[in-house]
Amino acid sequence: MRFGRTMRAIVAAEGSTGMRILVVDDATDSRELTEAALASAGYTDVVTAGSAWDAMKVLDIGRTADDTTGADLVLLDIVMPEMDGIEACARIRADRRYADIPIIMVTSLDDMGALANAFVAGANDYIIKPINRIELAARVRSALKVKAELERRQARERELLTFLSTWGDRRANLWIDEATGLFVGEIAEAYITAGAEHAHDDVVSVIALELDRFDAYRAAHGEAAGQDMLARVARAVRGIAGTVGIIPAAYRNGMIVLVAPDLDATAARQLGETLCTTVSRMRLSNAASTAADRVTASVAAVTGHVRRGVDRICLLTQAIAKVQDVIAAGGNRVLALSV
Amino acid sequence: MSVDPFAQRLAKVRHRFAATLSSKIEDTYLALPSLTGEGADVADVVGETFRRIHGIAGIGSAVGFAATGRAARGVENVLLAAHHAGRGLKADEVSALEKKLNTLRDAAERELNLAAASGM
Repeated sequence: MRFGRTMRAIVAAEGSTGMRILVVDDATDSRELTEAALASAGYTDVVTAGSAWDAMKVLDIGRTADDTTGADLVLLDIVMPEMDGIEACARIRADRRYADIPIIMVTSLDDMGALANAFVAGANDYIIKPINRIELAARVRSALKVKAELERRQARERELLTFLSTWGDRRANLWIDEATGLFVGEIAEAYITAGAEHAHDDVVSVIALELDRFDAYRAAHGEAAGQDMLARVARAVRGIAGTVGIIPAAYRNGMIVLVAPDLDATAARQLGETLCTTVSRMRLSNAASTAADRVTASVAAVTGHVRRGVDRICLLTQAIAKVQDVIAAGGNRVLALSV
Repeated sequence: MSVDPFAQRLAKVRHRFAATLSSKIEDTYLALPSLTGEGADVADVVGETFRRIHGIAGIGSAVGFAATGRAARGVENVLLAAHHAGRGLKADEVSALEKKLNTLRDAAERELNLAAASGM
């Protein structure tokens, strides 16, 4: 009984109990045990199929009239008559609606050859028979978590594409800052405001980064050298914050901002520290710096639970203001703030 | 006192497993003469036999028949190559299968007796 409570608590915490799981196994006993194990772990929306053909019907494979799907995860036995699990896996994966659905193969220890074929056919994971229900719950939870994250990112990507397609002037050279290759600052402002209208939750972080004594560097080395250094830092920023959904942008004065919907305060601080450390480790020489013998950056990460567009813009202005405070205090560090 | 639904379903499956185990093993013995030779019919019998044993191996230990599950795995391993190749068993494979099948029958008898003694 303790196990049951523990597993249900874990599953509930992940918020994946609403997912539908399809169990495909021709052996009634095995199918029933798997279903019971899933139920004990909190997964109550379980459908079963006694053959691969039945699974094709449940998933509506071959009919692509709409985007509805019959399951969020498939547990697929390899050994089945007529159509085995490997062929079923390939057919499911070939349906565009199930291109990203987690497919966990259920196999015996001596089926490793078949398992290799299953991975070629598109399986994501496997579990050994007899199924251990703790292991099953862990594998399923993990797969559903990945699926949920993927869907979240895809939604964010669609949101961004929609936003960009409706942006007044579609000429890319107005969106992109020539010196850094990042979006221009106005894009970040518009994105943070537009995102407020259809955000699923209300946490958002804005991270502002400015190179310490950048003006002095430009004065000493010239504008071209300054732009070159900024471009190198921007490349590093893109590499770190390349996650879909985080918008990196640059203002013409060299300030870089990252707009990160869904990023909580802890993650925002960590991202800020990574950025700060990365710039320092680039070891770009800067004799004008008072903080170190190399180029360093000051970072401010401001996180808030806000929904209204005007409040979100305040996060941006606060981040920009706070990074000046960090610079004034000596620079080369991160200030994280929750509002 | 609340009853664990999982334990309830496990008991049901365990009971069904025990009730059909002997007949599944017997069916496999009966199929032995049909497991050799060539042709689609032979491959079908091999496939059917493999899946029958696979069903025992797949849940044996989960329902308290660990030795039976392991022994079934041994039978399954003998059948695996022929099943994958879609052919009948060779003479040496039939000999190995009989030995493994005897081991399975002994293990099943022992564990069925234990289960009966425990009042299942």
